[in-house]
Amino acid sequence: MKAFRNREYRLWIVTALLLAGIGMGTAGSALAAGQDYPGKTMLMIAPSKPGSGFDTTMRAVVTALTQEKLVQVPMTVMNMAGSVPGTAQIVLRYSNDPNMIAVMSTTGSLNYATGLSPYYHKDWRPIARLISAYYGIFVRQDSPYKTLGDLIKDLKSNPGGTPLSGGYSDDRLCYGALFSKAGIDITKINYAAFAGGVESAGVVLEGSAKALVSTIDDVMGLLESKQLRLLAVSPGKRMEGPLLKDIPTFREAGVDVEWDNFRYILGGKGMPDHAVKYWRETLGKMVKTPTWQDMIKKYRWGDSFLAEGIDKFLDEKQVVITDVVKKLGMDKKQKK
Amino acid sequence: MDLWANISLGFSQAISLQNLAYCFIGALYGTVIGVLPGIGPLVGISILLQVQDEQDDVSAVVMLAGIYYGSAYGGSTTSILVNTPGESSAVVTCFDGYQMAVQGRAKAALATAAIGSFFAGTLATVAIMLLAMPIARLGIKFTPAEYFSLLLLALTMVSTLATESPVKGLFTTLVGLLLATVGMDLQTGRVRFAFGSHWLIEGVDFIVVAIGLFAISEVLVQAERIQKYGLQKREQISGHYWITMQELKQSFLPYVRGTVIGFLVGVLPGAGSTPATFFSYAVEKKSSKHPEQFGKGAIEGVAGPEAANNAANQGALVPLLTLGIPGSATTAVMLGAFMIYGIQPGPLLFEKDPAFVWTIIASMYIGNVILLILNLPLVNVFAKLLDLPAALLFSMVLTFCTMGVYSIRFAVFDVFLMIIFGIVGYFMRKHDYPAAPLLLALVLGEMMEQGLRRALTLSNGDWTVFVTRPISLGLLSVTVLSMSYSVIKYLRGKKRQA
Amino acid sequence: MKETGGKKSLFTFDRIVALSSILIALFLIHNEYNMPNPNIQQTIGPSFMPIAILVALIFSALLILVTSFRIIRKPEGGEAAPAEPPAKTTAGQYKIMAMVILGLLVYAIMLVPVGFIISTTILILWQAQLFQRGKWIRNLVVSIPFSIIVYYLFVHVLEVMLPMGILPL
Repeated sequence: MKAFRNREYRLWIVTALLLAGIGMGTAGSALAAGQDYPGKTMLMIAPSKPGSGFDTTMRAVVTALTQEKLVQVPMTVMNMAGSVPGTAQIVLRYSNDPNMIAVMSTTGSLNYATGLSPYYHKDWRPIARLISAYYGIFVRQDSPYKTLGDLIKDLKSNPGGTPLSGGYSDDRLCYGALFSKAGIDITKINYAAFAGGVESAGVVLEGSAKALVSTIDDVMGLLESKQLRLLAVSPGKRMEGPLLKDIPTFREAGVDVEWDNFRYILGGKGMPDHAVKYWRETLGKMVKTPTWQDMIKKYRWGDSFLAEGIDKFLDEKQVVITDVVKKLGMDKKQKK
Repeated sequence: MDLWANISLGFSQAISLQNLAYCFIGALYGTVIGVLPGIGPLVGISILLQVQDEQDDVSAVVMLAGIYYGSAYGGSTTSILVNTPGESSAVVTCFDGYQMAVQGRAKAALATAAIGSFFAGTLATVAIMLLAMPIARLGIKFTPAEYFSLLLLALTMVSTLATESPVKGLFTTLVGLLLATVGMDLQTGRVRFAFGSHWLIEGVDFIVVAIGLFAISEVLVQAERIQKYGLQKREQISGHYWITMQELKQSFLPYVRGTVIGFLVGVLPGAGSTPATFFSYAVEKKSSKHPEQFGKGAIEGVAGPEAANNAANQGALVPLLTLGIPGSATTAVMLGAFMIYGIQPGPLLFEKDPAFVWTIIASMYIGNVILLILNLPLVNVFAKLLDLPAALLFSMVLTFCTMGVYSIRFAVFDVFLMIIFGIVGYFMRKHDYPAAPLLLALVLGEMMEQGLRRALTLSNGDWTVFVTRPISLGLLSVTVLSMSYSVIKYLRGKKRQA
Repeated sequence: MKETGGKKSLFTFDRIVALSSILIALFLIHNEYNMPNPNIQQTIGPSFMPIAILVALIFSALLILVTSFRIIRKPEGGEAAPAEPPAKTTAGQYKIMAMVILGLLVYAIMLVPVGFIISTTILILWQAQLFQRGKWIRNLVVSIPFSIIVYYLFVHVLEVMLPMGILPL
């Protein structure tokens, strides 16, 4: 009898706990739809190795949000190396997780255009563009090329004998956009692809490659020490800073191209509107804080915050990038 | 002297109670990271990027450097104790380090690794101090053509890694080379052998293969043994013998050679410390009077590669500090860290910010001393781990291996890959297919192919580039000489047998 | 079951490896040869190295095949016999190794949905049973704190996100 009552008593407790749990659960979800977001830990995915551009950007965002106390929940950066597997995971695993945001760049559009990845910006929810890195065409200090025009002339008359070097991924897009616009058949140019801009600087310093395509922030040290010389820069207007203000843009140098590598924050495809709104507002506040401004100055990133029009921007970019990829000879329908 | 003024400036900055504390924390943290398989200095340093507001710049950089070489110290520990490489650069240490542990000489192996690391770290720091600039200039001379020739030379070392069965050694080398081609080709963006798996686009990770081939297959072998003989007959691998004077003497020359090799390879951007450890191992085996003991617990096979690993780590800082070109993934993170502290590595750094450079250099000396002091007593602690009941020890090894592999990119796919290579590794061991050539080929393969193709792109398809460039020609001649030497030796041995 | 001069089993391990790798290599060469290549200026394209390696692989597999026959033909050379002939792995040994692998596979599958702490505890208990029957209490006392400590080490010290799964931590 006693044992029975005991069991009954326990049953009641369990039922009560269960009910309370369900109650709290429903209350929690009701709150989640509204003002309580994010409510729990945010997962911040950087789809590349630690130390890469994605990783640095994400950690800079976390640092700024924490120090400026803009987000109260814990934020964990997760490195999912590789932009292709990374975006695949974002789509396949986190599409419906409102507590995941990630960072992407032109790489995402490039991977889709080359057929490397089946996913692109319509498969996730772009939130806001944060920063842009600008490109430059560099030569060794003692190079005979004085202007971008000199280099283009040689690339036209002797494409085989004018090898270039640069990164294998995004950098190739700038190279393709620039030189195809200049009227060169870029599939004839010798382009030695390296892991990134800095890595490809060595062969230019040594002399094997005639010019380097790289983001400017990557090789700033070599520019400052006058080992490399900058022929032209990619943004629409001249850049600031003592070393950069006298350098012509591509357009001024005679090629009507403007290029940058932008990084943007995205959420899963199923991210609710209130969460998107929350992040657009929070990031909008963040980019104005001194912490963020100080950081992008140190990393030499260009501030290019864009929240509302980002979908349209990415649509347009995808068209341009697909076109460049075709000119590069890298699009998916190529046959040998 | 100018140098003395500089270095004493560095020490005066580095030796504050606060900095020493940060250096210690960094070293300890680095050791932990190094010990854990798959978790490397990359993780530790990028975390530091987030906490930078709490410290001043110098302390942060001192701590960063502590993590950096702390992990190089720690990587070998699990290689020696449980045949589980903590870092890719500690794979070579498995060959003889684990065998030493099996013979009850775990402490000697751990001690020689720690002392060798200290020796190389300190010597390489001296080299950075005196030779950074000229060496960096030499490094620039290494274009893709030279890389290809160097890696070809390195690949001929396979003959030293597979003396028992050269035919099977050749086979596993080719399998390793093939694995290295999996994934996206940098030159064209074309994907090879991925069969639609997006995970394989990034290629097959070296550490996943290494952990599978060594650690997982080791657990299988132990399970097999225990099933037959019971727990009592498990090889008594806990070590009781401290390193002897004789062993230290044997280790000394390998330290020196390892340091030189490691530093020179480390200076080359993109090469990294893993090839350096293979080079050192091959050189030790070639120059040894008893090459047959290698792979069976030769202390030189631990001493040389461990020294090379640390020297290569220091060497990788040379192009970073002098040119702003990171020599490895880890130094690329360090570059990011430097930038956050408003420091632009490059040719002007030594002039513009001498206090910073010399403080780093001073902290390297200090860090190495701290690590030696930290690691020698740890030898006893780690060796104690082997007294854990086998049943628990091996389950824990499996956990750490799985976590290390999983956390590389949070992919269960990689865990399955590790398990597959574990099974493959078991059969390779049973049937005398050497794993070392496979790993060497895997680590060198991609660099070699990319070197070849970049060189041909830069020369506009002119193959003579490999023989018209003096350094490349030199390397190729050494390759041809060493290969014909091996072939002659092999044929002679055959004749004698017949 | 006993190996007697290898006559009984024509399909030794080496030969199976050699033959199957030749077949796989041929398939891969075919596969690689028919891959569309990007139209990029290249002296040797992305297929060159893989095909070269595969051709070499076929030759080395043939070499293994040839040597495997030669060794059998001279069972009594002047050479010293191997110190101890490699013991044949028994069915029981294969079973236990299969169980180890099975445990690992289940662990990998469980890891994300169930979470690190629970899966690891189960893995350790499972593997420990394979190595040594019984001692449940000891294993539990070790495995639960071990899983929790490792979880905290990874998540809070190393900031490596491990799946927490169904545990509300």
